Formats: sequence, C-alpha cells, structure tokens
Amino acid sequence: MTMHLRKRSNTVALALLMPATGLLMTACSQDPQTPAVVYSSVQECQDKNPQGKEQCLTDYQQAAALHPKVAPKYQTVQECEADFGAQRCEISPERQQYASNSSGGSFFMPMMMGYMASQMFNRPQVMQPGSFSSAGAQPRDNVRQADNNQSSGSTGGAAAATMQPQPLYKSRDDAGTFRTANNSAVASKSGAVNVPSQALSPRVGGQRRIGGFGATAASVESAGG
Amino acid sequence: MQRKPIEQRSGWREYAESVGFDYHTIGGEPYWDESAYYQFSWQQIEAELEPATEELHEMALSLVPDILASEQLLSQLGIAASHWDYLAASWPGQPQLYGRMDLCYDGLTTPKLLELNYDTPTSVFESGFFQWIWLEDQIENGLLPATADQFNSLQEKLIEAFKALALPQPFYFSSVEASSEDRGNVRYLMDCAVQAGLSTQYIPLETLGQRGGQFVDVVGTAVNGMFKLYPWEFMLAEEYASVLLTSDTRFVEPPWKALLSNKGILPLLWQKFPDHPNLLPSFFEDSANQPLQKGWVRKPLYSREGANVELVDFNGERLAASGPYGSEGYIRQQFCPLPKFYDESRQSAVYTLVGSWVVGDRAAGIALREDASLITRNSSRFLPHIILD
Repeated sequence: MTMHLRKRSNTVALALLMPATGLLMTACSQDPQTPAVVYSSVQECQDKNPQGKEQCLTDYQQAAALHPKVAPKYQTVQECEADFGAQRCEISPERQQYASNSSGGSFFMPMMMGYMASQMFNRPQVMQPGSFSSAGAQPRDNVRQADNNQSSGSTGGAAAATMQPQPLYKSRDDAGTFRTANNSAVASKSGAVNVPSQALSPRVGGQRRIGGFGATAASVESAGG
Repeated sequence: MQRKPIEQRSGWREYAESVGFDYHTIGGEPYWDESAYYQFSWQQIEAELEPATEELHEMALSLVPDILASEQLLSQLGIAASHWDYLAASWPGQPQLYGRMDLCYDGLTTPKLLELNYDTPTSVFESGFFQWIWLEDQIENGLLPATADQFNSLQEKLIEAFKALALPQPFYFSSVEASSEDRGNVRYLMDCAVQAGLSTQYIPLETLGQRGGQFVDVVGTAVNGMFKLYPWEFMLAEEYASVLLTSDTRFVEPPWKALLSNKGILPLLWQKFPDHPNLLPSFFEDSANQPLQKGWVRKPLYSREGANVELVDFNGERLAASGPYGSEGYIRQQFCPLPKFYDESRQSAVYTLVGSWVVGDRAAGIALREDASLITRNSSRFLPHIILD
C-alpha cells in the first residue's frame, strides 16, 4: 500500500463564533423580549428613582459614551437634518479629531434624545457572560474550536438581563418615537418597555449608506461566485 | 469518482446554524447536502486534479503581464483606460489570497478548465470548515473508514496566506450587507485572518466612505487594507471608481484580479496555450447574432453563478440561464458535458462540477457542486467528498 501525505488540514477551528455584524440572529415570533426602561434625560430617571440616582447617572454616561460610536453618520448636516429635523444634528467628535490632523470635512450625526437601560430591580448581582444565541454557538468539543476568548470584546458579554445602556434618537417624520441607533423603534414615550433582542446591542455604524460602492449588488443575489 | 449515499448526521442543521452557516438551505431547497458524498481515488487527486489546478493557475498568472502590457487586450476585456495604471500598479507586488477554478472532470479523462472564479470566489466556509467536520464526524460515527482523507487544506493554507501577505491592520473585511451567504464567507475568511494573528474589523461595503480621496470607515478612520467580496468590475464602474485612483487602500483580492475574473481570459488562455490538455477551445464572439453551433457554450464576459450562460449540447439540445449580465460581450467555449450521476434519494440524474481551490499559488482542495441542470447555479447543492482507494 502506498503511503500518502495527508491531504486535509490537520485541524480546523473557528475563533470568532459571533456573526460579523451582530445581525445574524434575526427577530422572529419566538424572539425573547427583554424588559428595559426608556428615559428622555438623567433628570427624569432620577426623579422616578430617588434611590438610584447614581445608577441613573452611570447608565446615562454609558449611553452617551456609546452615542458617537453608534449614531448614524452623514456627510452633510443637510442630509442628517433631512432624517432627524432642523437643529437636531451635531458634528461627530471622532470625526473632528480625525479631521484635525488632515484636511477635509466632518461627519454629522443626530443628537441623542434619550437612552434605554435595564430595569433597576431586574439586575442580577453578577454580570453573567453570555451571547444572543443562547442555544447555539457553543463549542461542540474542545478540539475543533479555538479558544472563545479570542472573540472581539465588542460582541461578547451582552446577557439578556444586563443590557448595555444605549442612546436613543427621534426621526423627523416620526418625532414621537424613540429609536435605537440601528433604527429599531422601541418606545413612544418614556417608561418601561419590552425590546426584542436585536435592539439590545447597537452596532457600530448606522444604517445610513454613505458608500459609493454597492449599487450594482441590487441586481444580483450574491456578489460572489 | 463515485457518488455514494450516506446517512446524514443527526442535528447537523442546528450545528450549522451555531457556527454561522445559516445559508445551508436556500429558498427552502438544500444547499448543503450530506445525503451522499463523492469518493475520489488518490490517483485522481494527486495525479490529476492537484497538478492540473496548479498548472492552470500558473498559466492564468502568466497572462496578467501580457494583458497589462497590451492596450488592445485591456480594451478587449472591457477595462476602462482610466484604470489601466491602477491595475498595473498592483502587479506583481500584491499577490493573491485565493481563487477557485471550476473544472469539468469525470474521474476518467483529463480535467478541463470551465472558468476561473478568481475575484470573488464563495463557498469557502463549507469547503474549508464544514466538509472537514463532516468527514471527522462520519469517521467517528463509523460510517467511513479512518483511512479516508479529503482534498482540503483550505483553512490551513488561508491562515498561512494571511500571515504571508503582510497586510495593514486593522484589516477590514467587507461584503454587501444584505447577503447572508456573502457575509458567511467573509466571516470565515476574517476568522482565518484572526487565527493568523491579524487585527480585523467587519464593514458593510455600503457604509464605506471617502474623504480627501482616501477610503474611511463610518467613524472616519482610514481604511488602509480591506478584503472585499465584491467584484472589481462593479467597483470600477461605480461612484467610487475615481476614489480608487487616489486611495492608498490595499485591497484583497488585488486590482489585477479584475483581469482574471473576466471570461475573456478563456480565449486568451487558448491563444497562448493552444491544445493544452486542460483547456477547452475558446474564442471571443465577434457576432452575437451568429447561432450557437452544436457542442458550444456561450458565456458573457462578466457573469457569476451561471447567469446568462447558454449552451447547445452535442445533440443540438439548447439550454439557457437567465440573468443580468451580457451587455459587455460574450465568449464561446467548447461544450464539456459534466459527469452525470444518479441521485437515489431524489431518483433523478445530477450533473457534477468540481471547484478547485488555489490559495497563494498552491492547490488547496476541492468543492463539489451538483445540479439537475448542466448549468451550475448559485443554488446548486454542495456535497462533501472523500479520498479513498
């Protein structure tokens, strides 16, 4: 019998089990709803939760820090105001920083009109690591898949009951509705809400297309072959 | 080369979904199909498919400098003069990551090149990862002997290639956001890059921006390097085509791949290597009105997933696939009938195509696609394979 060199990989592994965009798990009727609270300001939160003033501030600060990262970006203030209304847009700070050491314009983004956080009484004592896909995404055995710790920080750790506080926006044509940075409508007024899991974690970058690539794709199912 | 039925692994769909393979079923029809597998002999892999793949790859690359040096050939391939220098600047300094060539092979006669998918090849996850797991499982289940192997070093070679390419970091990976299949392919390549030690980031292609002639991501960070699962011929025709000329972004696949993804490469190969045993006679079509003769296939210069392909077999039977391509012209290639097998579970005949991967400059494995039609489409089923004597 002739000896042959092995023709297949010695091992295969996946280091990143989470989807690249965080949108793989689409909402469906069985999608669990997570209780959350919407506030239009820190003041409103503190008025309603006199025992939790510090938590209100922390939640707000986390949402505000996320705001420039996740808000949809526009190349002109006119485009931004067309979606979010007059005087409702501001310059993206990361953009300004980048523009300061080179020439060029800025990006614009809508102002934060509120934020969404976990309900205070519903918070576990210890943050449990987890993922959106509670059933799947587990290594089947310890040989085939590489260490999960290689996953990027931005996708891990968002257990259902410990949602990350996130900024909310209001569009020009539907000014009563609070929307996430990814344009999921979550509430029509402040207060308790149930949100689908796909609204729980905003994705960096908005749904606004600023690209000059991608137009031809509309005519084909897949750009690959 | 044989087609053999085999019991499917229980729970494979749940497992597929847990690893992001959510396009295992497309439009209610199976795409990943493990109700059967193909068995190749060692001789078929080592003496036929592997050397033919590497030789065809070398021949294709040998055409790149010829084309770049000829205004007539660049024009014939439909490359606008405004981008000739841009393509030329990437050759040979920016080597390829990967490509896949589709072969007409029945296990008995010499493999023939049907076409090159050298710009945006897909099915990389199911080839490199999922069929590998399938083989390990079926050996473990006792349904296949432990001596069975697979022509599939795709993942290992992709990781090696990402290490060797010296790419800027963070290295971006992009695809059209709406296509979950494209995203799955990109996610897997990004995973290989991470395992090669690269810092990576995904960007939906539509959110790529530009400022001052440089590509930037949505928060304005310069995109110094980017894998794009998006055809060069689209990029060279869209709004940002002019930005390419001023940008310093290192693209994978590199710009010169625009030449090899064009079906015009097939007649050019035939001109340079006439009567080569792995080539089919191919010609540029000079008059579209001329009827297709028996035993010939007509393909648009730009076409993916079998779209707009028309063929007339040796008996004069005509077969055509619709699609959006064709305005740029056509080539004609001699018909090579795909081998026909019998699918017992569906009680119907199937035609099978061998996709052969090249990573860097090495043959890296195969992907089997079968269809009830002689024209292999995006929806054609993917079946695993083994090597066993």
